[in-house]
Amino acid sequence: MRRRLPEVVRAIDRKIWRDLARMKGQVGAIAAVMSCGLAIFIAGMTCQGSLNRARAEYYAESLFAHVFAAVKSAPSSVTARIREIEGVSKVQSGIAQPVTVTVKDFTEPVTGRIISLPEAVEAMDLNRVTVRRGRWPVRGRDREILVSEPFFEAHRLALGDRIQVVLNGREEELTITGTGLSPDFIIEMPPGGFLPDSLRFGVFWMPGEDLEAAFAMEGAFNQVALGLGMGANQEEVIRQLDDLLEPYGGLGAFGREDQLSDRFIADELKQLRVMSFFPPAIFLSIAAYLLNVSLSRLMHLQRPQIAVLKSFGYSTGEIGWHYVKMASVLILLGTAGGSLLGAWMGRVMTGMYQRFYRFPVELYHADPALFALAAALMAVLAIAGVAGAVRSAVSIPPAVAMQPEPPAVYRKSILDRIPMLRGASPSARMLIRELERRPRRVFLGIFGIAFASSGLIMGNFGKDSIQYIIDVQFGLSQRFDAAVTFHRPAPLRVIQDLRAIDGVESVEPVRAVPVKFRLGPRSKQTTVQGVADPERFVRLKQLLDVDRHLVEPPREGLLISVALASALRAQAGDLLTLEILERNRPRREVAVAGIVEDFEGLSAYMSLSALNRVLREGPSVTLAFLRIDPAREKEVYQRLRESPRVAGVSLKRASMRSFLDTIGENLLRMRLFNVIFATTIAVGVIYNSMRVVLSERSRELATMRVIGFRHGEVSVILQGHLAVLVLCAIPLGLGLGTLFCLAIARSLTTDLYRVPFVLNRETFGVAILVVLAASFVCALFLDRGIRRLDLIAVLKARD
Amino acid sequence: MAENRRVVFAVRGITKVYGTGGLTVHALRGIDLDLHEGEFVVLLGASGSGKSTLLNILGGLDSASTGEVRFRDEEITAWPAARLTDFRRDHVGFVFQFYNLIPSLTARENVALVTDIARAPMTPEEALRMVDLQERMDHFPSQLSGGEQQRVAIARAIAKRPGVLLCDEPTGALDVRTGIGVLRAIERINREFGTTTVVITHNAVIAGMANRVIHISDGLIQRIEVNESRCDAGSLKW
Repeated sequence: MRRRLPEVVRAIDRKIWRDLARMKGQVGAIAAVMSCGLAIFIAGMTCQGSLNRARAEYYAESLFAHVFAAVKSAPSSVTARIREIEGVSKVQSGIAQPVTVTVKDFTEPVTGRIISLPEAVEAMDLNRVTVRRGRWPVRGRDREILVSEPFFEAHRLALGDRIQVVLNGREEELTITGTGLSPDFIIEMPPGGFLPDSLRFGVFWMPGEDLEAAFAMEGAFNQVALGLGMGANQEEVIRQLDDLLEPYGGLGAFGREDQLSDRFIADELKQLRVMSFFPPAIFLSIAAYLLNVSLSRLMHLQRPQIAVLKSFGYSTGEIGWHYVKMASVLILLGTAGGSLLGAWMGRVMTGMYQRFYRFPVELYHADPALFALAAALMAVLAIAGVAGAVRSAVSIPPAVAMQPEPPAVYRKSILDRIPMLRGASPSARMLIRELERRPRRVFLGIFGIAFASSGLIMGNFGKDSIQYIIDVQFGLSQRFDAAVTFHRPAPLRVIQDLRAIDGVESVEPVRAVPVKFRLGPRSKQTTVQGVADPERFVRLKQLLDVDRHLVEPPREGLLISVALASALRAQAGDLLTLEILERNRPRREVAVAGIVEDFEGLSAYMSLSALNRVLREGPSVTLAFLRIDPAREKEVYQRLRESPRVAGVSLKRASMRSFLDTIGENLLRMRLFNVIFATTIAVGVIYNSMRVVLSERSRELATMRVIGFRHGEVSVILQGHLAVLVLCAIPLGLGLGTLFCLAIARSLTTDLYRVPFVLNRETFGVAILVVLAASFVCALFLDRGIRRLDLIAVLKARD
Repeated sequence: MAENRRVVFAVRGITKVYGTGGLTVHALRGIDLDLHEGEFVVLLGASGSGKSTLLNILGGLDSASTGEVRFRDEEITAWPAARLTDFRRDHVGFVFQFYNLIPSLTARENVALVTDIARAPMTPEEALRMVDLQERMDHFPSQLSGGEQQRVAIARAIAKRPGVLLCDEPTGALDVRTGIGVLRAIERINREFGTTTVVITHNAVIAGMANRVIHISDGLIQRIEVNESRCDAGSLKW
């Protein structure tokens, strides 16, 4: 007896394979939906884990600072006093200056940031620069520098190459001795840009003495980073640091959380957390539901088999275990598929991140524990999906299970009472009553398809949103061709000088002032742009209200961007406290006059005269917008570069192109993932639901064929069922998709950038088309299924 | 008596072989048979004898491997699937052992399913009256007993006024009393409409109702009995 038992077990196990092989279409569809959910989960978690790990490792290794501050110019002796602030363990001070750069064979304007370096890396107590290629630059000799790795690679530079850099108004030739990366520039954002642009913005490191000499800042610093000891009170440190630096033109200290590069990573991680939770949860619930429906049907069909097994003496537990094992095969398939796909996607996505986030360590890191977690998660979900079906199937006593089942119970329904439907054909009634009999299943089926269509909408949301930004920002708002920044506030007459350049058609001056806004407990640091009187200067940067209508700053008061308004929770009429981060940091109160649509994050505008009144100074400019004759663009740029006042020039066309280049490819890839996944869900849900319906109704349909109904007349009953599901699902899906996009837009919007909630008509059109196409394919399969019904066998068998 | 009437089905030398290669099953090995208008024929035989295969070929549900079947002088064995569908739609009424009603339709609607597509049907109400179910017309199958369900199936089969009524073990799933009720309904149709009726059974008692009893075994007609007088369904006992 003991020796024979394993053989019997093997026979019942063989049944698992045969049953699954017969349901291979459904098995494939369920496994595919599972795989997609798991893949997104794994990919999202991998990116998140990789970024987190690389950041933590790199920060630790490079001694990334905790507190940062910029100052106009402070004597080096101040660092000793900073070191005395309680909680401060390390201080690193130096010089950082904006520069314009000329790279051979690259005619467009390039700007950058040049930062001082000590003699050797060991002398850096904080924010250590890692040399990736070549060697540390030596002072004096040949004006040596390190170049940031992305810039070096983007321009295909070689060690020993020379680049022209304007240092304090003098163009100098600097020699590249190596490439570097530093923890405060993991992502290199050009000032005012949306995205990194390694061709047009770079970071450069130069021996401190050389840089001090070039900027006549010997024995002084203009930026300082602090490392804090355990248990230090960061807020208190920042307060004391601000007080210390104030006499030297302190621009406000801030913590890591406000450091640009770190904040981008933090935002990215936040998005990844959202992404690796919600979509997989939806996918996996749908997969669990499909598993439940399909297995319930299978067990229903196998009621007599279950009864026979029970009559042979198999226990309820053994039979239940048999079906759980069958489900496990599916789970294994889904887990294997999802793990492979997820690992691949994780690699592709970290690759995408690597274009923006540069770490000297390998970014991609696949955590084996993650795969184990994913498998466990799948098991839990799948068992949840199977448990109910197994329980109800095995609990029927064998004698009952072997009896033919009584006909399914139907009742006259509300629909039968609608006079219009009284004349409906029997086929129509069959359809309506079937839908009414299983409202839960119909609802879940509709929901599943709706999720698929919402996925398609989310897939195209990014494109629509970016198109809108381009239309508004580059089309309506920015009427200029180039933006010129000055080293320091310049007198208004520089505008006349600019206008005098041959090829410059018009110029608009702007005075930008760094400020800290406060409203109640909230505060935000940014700049206020004073825009000139439209009667004296052409408006080249238009301000738009939320309805995209042109607005002008009023004589008094501020216009603030939507992002700033929401960050401060400010409304028109609120009185904001302005702490001006220049000179002796005066504080003023200014009222909010209105809100403007602006995708540059936290920004604020005033009329130049109002700003001058607030500053209590005469007119000056720090920024100018230019309209240039396209034919003379190069000459104009050459002239601008030669001007000692000019710190940087950016061309709108170039920044727009780089924006599209950088984001276009990633968007395309994400859209592709989205469309594939959404289509998989759509096909998975539709195919599975309809297979089950076909199986349940095969007897009826065969009967109808036998009594003389034509193939098409029978097929239409199932196709009608499918049509009802799809037609209900599409509007629901479009609605859900819209809601999801709204939620995404909200969750992705940060201080740094705002994601506008915009969906184009084509996006809805594409979603509808894809769902209809998926339904059509399923309808063909269904039709084939009906054609293949074995009329005689179906009629001979009892249900 | 039967021989004087018009031939409805003329079956000549049909065989049916299932499967290919080494494992073939000869379900029919050469059947010759004429069925006449208004005739009540019982096909008697053990399970696996080939009687259901013969019935399915007559009804256009299955095709013969060789031989020919003519229905009123037309050779149906040569027809494509679509033509066979129309043949079933216009001329054949089927009754099955397990009723095969549509559970989501009431008795009346189950019959209407056929009357909606037939050429000159009776009304569903008339058909249900023929089987004494006028009181239960708006009940769903789940609300009817087995015998009632089978009578609905008969009403559904005859509502199109078919030329032939083919019944495969119509009482197989029923007890004696309800079985007799069902047979009565079949008998009534046969007598009142003159519908050629073929009933498959392995219950020899039912043979008494027939004009002719055809014994089939091993894919061949073993013998044909002719009943000089038919018994009433009501007088049957088993």
